[in-house]
Amino acid sequence: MEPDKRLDRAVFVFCNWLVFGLIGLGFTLEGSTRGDLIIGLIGIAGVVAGFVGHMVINQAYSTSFTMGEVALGLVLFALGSVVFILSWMIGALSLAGFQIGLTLLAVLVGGFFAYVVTRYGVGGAFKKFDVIGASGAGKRET
Amino acid sequence: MISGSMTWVLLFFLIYGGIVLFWARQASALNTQYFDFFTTGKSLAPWMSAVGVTGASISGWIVLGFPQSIATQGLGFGVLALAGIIIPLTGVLFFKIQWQIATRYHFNTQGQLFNGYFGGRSIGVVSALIAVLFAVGFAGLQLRAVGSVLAGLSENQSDLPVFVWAIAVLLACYVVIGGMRSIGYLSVIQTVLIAIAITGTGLFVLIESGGFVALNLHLAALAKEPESIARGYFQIAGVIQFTAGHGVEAPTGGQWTAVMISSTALVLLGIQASPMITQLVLSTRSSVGIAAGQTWVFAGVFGALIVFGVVAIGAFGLGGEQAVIPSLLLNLSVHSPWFTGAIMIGLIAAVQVVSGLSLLAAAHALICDIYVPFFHKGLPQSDQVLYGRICVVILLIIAALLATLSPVVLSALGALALPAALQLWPALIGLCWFQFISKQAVISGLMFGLFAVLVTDHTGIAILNFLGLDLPWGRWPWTIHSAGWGLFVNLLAVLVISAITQGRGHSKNASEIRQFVRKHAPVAPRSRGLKPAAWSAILAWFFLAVGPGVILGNQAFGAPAEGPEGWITGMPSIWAWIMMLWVLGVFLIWFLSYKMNLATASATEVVALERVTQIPIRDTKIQEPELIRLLWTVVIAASVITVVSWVFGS
Repeated sequence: MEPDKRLDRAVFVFCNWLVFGLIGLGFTLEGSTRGDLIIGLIGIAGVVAGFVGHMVINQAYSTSFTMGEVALGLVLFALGSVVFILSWMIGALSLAGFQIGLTLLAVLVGGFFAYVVTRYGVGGAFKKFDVIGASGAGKRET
Repeated sequence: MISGSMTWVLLFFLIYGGIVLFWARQASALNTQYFDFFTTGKSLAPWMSAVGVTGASISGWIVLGFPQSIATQGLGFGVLALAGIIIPLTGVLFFKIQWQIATRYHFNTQGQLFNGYFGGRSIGVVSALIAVLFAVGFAGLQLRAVGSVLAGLSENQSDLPVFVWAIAVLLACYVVIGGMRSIGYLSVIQTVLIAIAITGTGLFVLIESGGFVALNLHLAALAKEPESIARGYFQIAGVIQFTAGHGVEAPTGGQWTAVMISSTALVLLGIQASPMITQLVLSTRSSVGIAAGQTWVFAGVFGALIVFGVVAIGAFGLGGEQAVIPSLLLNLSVHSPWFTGAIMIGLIAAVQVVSGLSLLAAAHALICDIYVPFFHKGLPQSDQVLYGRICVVILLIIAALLATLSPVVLSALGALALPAALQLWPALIGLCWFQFISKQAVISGLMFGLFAVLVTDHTGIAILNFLGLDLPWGRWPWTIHSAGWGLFVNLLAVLVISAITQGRGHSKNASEIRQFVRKHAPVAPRSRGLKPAAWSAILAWFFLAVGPGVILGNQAFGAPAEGPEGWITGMPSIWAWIMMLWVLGVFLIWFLSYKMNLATASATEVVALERVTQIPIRDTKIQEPELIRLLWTVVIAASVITVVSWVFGS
């Protein structure tokens, strides 16, 4: 993609996450703090909307997620998971906070698999993670 | 000790600062030619320009200023929330043709457009000076406003200079690093933040007042109070009042007469006629985004946000004694500090979007329309960019100094910017639509118009008072805004002088430009039949929305003092009237943009003319005689003013 268009898309993606990410982060935090599941679910809906928006932008620019975006997403997911598990272990989470966190993780994992399967098909999605098959390490020597 | 909400504001500001600098760096990397700094090489994506124009047009003025004005002056001022329709009207009428002419003939500033069509350099100079007024007055005023909100949130007004300078430094960094490209990219992000701020504050108002019905019950109770009736909080105070103006004779029952509203609405028409917005439009690679931007982004989405959100915030503060936004944020910070931080960043973004653009436009105009043609011909582009950067910093320092040290002067300058920009309307009409308007007429109209603006507004009255001349009228006599007086005098001069100077009022390029416009922006055959309908729709909408017909809104949906029992829509009649006119207004903008093809992209591709190879001017140096002449003019003018004020002044 031309540098100009690449940057146009990047601004678009950024604005998408600025809106939905802020809704997601804010309402999830607010729901956990207040112990209100409904507010937390609004936040989760925000994250899902951001994900959908990102895919729409990808479609409009005929691209996929960039390596940087995937890396950032995975880092944020890992960070969120660690924070959630640690908070749960030290008992800093209310019941609603626990439910919100668990729902968020489940939605993210489910969303990720749904995306990969719809984009690459079941077989293709499996092949994306089939490190052994791809490297040939599992093949029998002849 | 920093409060919880201020910690969040600080955290968000640091993140926002990081984001801003990141995009400025990205933008800077794409600036391959020197002049990309000012114009992006006309490569800004149309959708970015559409969103950015919206954000810069709305700016902190509407986000911060409108709620406060509604809270102190009532829903009569709320009629101006139709800004979502009035502001884009200028863009619908002029943007497409301006872009086409600029692309074809390589014009980069509004001044060059005017000079190229009308000939001479004087209109360009006036345009550059108006750009400076925006950069210093309008932007400085907004810097102070957002600084005040931050100081209110920190509950320490002495912090105001710190906040103003922090915002100014960040602003200077991204404008100087990335120029127009970073302004373009960031304007999208900042516009999104504005939307978040309006939505968030509006939602909090609804939560705080217990819902929309409860908010209207509060308004109903207020409507029955004698004080609110006396101040005319819920109605328009007649069509016109022949008062001598503020400071001499106060209008009775509130200042918001129908004529006051219509003349103030003219101020809104000035925003998109200003050099700063033009600069953004001229930096765009295509005109395809104009219609969608003006219709759906501006009139549709942001029109709704203003009519619902901004008016709700103002109505919530109606009759209150504290400044509405700071007190709301202070309240919100108790419940949700992070939310307060996010909204605060939205307000900062609202100020930066307009400040950055106006600073760059002013610097560009000063260099290209004044310095290079008059004082330093043949200055290399690299030096022009360097001087442009220096100009940005100097203008910003002046604005920030005025914001922190001299708010009275700043507010006087800020109040002049929009009425002054409105005086460019006849020049734009001449450029885009009517060959009848001549150069002499435009220049005379501008001078007369700007003079009329000065003597009917605070600044001019104060200056003349300083010189010992006490005018018998105050600010905005006959409840007509200075913009209205200016435009009236301006148009009168333009019509008379154009009639006198027919056939000798254009540059040698003018007829070619006119032919080009006819070819590229023709009125489609099917649209010709719709012309009467278009004129009727515009006039009818203006009559009902901001003209004398607006007084129908006082009672149309129930008498103001009757309360919810008598209010058909469950809200004050004038608010319901505004909403109805907003819906009709979106239809009007859509009709003009798409059905009349005023803003849709031309079917014929605009091909830029080959640049005339200019012989490089060797041995370029500053033209000393011109500079000395300028210096003497300034010295003599200053001496005359000093003597006059000493002899006659108070």
